[in-house]
Amino acid sequence: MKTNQAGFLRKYRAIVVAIALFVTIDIALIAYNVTASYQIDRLAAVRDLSGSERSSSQIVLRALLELEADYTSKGAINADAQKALRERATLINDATRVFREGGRMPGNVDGIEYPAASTPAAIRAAEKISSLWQPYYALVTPLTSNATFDGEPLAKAVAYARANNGELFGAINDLVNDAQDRVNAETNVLRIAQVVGILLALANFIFTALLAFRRLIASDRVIAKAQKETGDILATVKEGLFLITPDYKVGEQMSASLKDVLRKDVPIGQNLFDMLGPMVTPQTLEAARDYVELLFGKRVKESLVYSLNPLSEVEVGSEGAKRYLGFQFNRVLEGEDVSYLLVTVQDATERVNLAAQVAAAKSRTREEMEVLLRVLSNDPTDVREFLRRTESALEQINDGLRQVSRRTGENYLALVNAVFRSVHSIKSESAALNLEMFEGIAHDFETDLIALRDRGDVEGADMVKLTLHLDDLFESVNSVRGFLDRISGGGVSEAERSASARFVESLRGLGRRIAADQGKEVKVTAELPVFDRLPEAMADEIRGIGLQLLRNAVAHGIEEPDERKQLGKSAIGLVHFSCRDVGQRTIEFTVRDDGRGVSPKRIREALARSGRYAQADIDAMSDRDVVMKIFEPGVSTISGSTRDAGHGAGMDVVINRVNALSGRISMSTQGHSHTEFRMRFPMPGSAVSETAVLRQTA
Amino acid sequence: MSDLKEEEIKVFTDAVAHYFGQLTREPAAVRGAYLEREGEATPVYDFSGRIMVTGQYRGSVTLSAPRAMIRHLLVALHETDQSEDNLRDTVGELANTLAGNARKYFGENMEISVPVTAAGAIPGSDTGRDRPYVIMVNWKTYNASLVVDIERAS
Repeated sequence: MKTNQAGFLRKYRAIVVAIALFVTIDIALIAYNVTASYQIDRLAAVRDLSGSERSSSQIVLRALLELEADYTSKGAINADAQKALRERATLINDATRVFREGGRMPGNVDGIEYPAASTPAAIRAAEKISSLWQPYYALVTPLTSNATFDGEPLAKAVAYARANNGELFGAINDLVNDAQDRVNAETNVLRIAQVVGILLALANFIFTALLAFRRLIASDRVIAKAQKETGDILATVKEGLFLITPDYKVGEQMSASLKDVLRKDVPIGQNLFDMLGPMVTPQTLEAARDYVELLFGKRVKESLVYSLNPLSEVEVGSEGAKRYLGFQFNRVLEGEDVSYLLVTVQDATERVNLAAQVAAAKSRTREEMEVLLRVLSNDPTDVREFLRRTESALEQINDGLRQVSRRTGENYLALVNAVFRSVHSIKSESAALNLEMFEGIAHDFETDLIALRDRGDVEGADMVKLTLHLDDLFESVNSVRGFLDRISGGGVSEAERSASARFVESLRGLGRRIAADQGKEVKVTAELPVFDRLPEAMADEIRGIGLQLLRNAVAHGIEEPDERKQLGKSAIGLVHFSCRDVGQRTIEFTVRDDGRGVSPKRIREALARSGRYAQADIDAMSDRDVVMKIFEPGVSTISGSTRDAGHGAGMDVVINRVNALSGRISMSTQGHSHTEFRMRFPMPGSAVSETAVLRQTA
Repeated sequence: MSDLKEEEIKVFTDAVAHYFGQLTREPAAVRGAYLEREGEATPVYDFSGRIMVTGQYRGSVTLSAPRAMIRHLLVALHETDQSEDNLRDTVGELANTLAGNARKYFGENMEISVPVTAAGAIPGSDTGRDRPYVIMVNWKTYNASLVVDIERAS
């Protein structure tokens, strides 16, 4: 407070001095006025008294003459004349004394303290009056009190009066004139003093006013400059800036970019939470309310609650135009009270996206490292084989996309289903080799394909999405191949192993991985005496079928260890593969698991869940018809999807591959005992072409 | 993951679709998309327009359309000048639309050149990707190709 006062005095010193001078001049003027008036009053009283004395001298003469006339003619005393003589003689006597010595008149009738004559002229006049009046008064006094008197004293008095009246009158007149001159002089001085005082006060007032105006104009300039600078800052700053009052209303000043950052107008006085309401979730809004209330309170330090700000990075905007805004709140203090909160809003989209990109890049690097480690853990020949097969499948997919895009009236849904089968096989194979990067991309690809398939109404624009996934897979193939080339010095590893050995290893790898994911235990056994003799294309198809059926067996067939024990089975589930020549240029491939078997009841539930069949139709189907439905795309007995099951795609892949090899497939299953798929394929070159036949043993 | 996103490619396909939609009330539709094989030529029609991009993305986006399609477009616009120059200018205008949409979406992350046009293929193709995205666009009975050959500069 003291500092404020000192500041105020320093700032307005000139005006304060000017006002003090004004007051001093006024007080001095008033004081002088009072003193001078008092002096003028006393001098006027002297003038009046001397005037009375002058007239009294004439009345005394006249009274003496009247007394003499009456005495001479009538021998009597004129009482009125005697009275006048007595009173006037007394007045002259008292006044003469007062003028010589100073003081009050007897009885203090007028209450005035008369000054003694002070000017030389007055002193001379007073002395002269006194010298003339003393003998005069001595002669008059006997005539004023006695009822009778002789003629002689009267005659003496009259004679003295006649002889000295002129001189006495002149002396008293001098006194009167002197008093009048002094009154006039004093009055003149007072008038001049008043005029000078008023002029001084006026000059002082003008000076003060000019000073005040100058300061006012200077202050206005400073304010205008400050306002312009503030305006320039608010017009230029990229962040959205505004103030929030303690009742949460938006203040009058805000930066021009605020509406650009928020992408909407912000009316002055709008409630902060009404403004935020349409932009954020109700939970965030509630948290923001708590945070702002906390900041307006005094109890917590701003820096301590900084991290609680729920709006530091908030997602706004609709799907397709999502962006991030960062709100920062800072207290504006007045004394110790929080008068406002300064709100700074920034478009944090770029920052958030950059952070996401950095995180994605890190994750990608980690994934790639993971892939490379896994590649290293496999036989390079197996990986190269996988890359060859995958690339070939990808080229086929791309050809499909190319053909569809150049012809009218194409069935996009059929293409989606075909692509799905290829991608699903890639996923199975990559899982068998534990190549999670491929598996992950294929899984994402599958997810989008399923969404399209379920949507049903697939159009040309949807193909763009497929090309993106395709590109990812091509790039992955290239990068892994490049890596293999680098570690092998540009050459291909010649670690030759039989195709059947590599197939068994893939099956065991996939079996282990799926079993681990699902908390199961599985053992894969195989007898593949003819596999190595099969043409490469046929072996590739059979391999794909085997991997898919293994996936199904472990995910759907093999029970969890506890369940198996309760059923009196070994905790470890068994999946057996066999591939043999059954004569007549026919190859038989079987996959058998000792799991829970295919349950018509569960398939009926799955069909109902898929929404493709009315309940009445499902009820009307025989168990055999129901079991056949597992070969239809989109039917899965698992209600939630994982990366290994639940998409209803696996058996569709199997049946398509069987058809591609002109083979036939049969299935036998028994509850809690087993499921076996048996396929027969003609060796290429033979004229066998049979339709797939399904058989089920309940 | 691919360095381009679906919505980033959609910026260009939407530009073409809306161009036709706004001028003729019949938008062009995407018929399909595929990846061009490494080293192979992308589909080229009678007139092509291309924008080159630099900055955080680099490469080019090329639209190629058959003469009949452009002529039909001009007829729909009641434009009587069917000269070669005007046909080529119309493809340039389409390329300009691609540039406009890209500027709006990518902002300062993408620097875009003035469109270049040619009758047939545009020489000096500066390939960005191993396998450019080829998007086939259809309007009325005509097919045009949109080749998105840009990659994110890392």
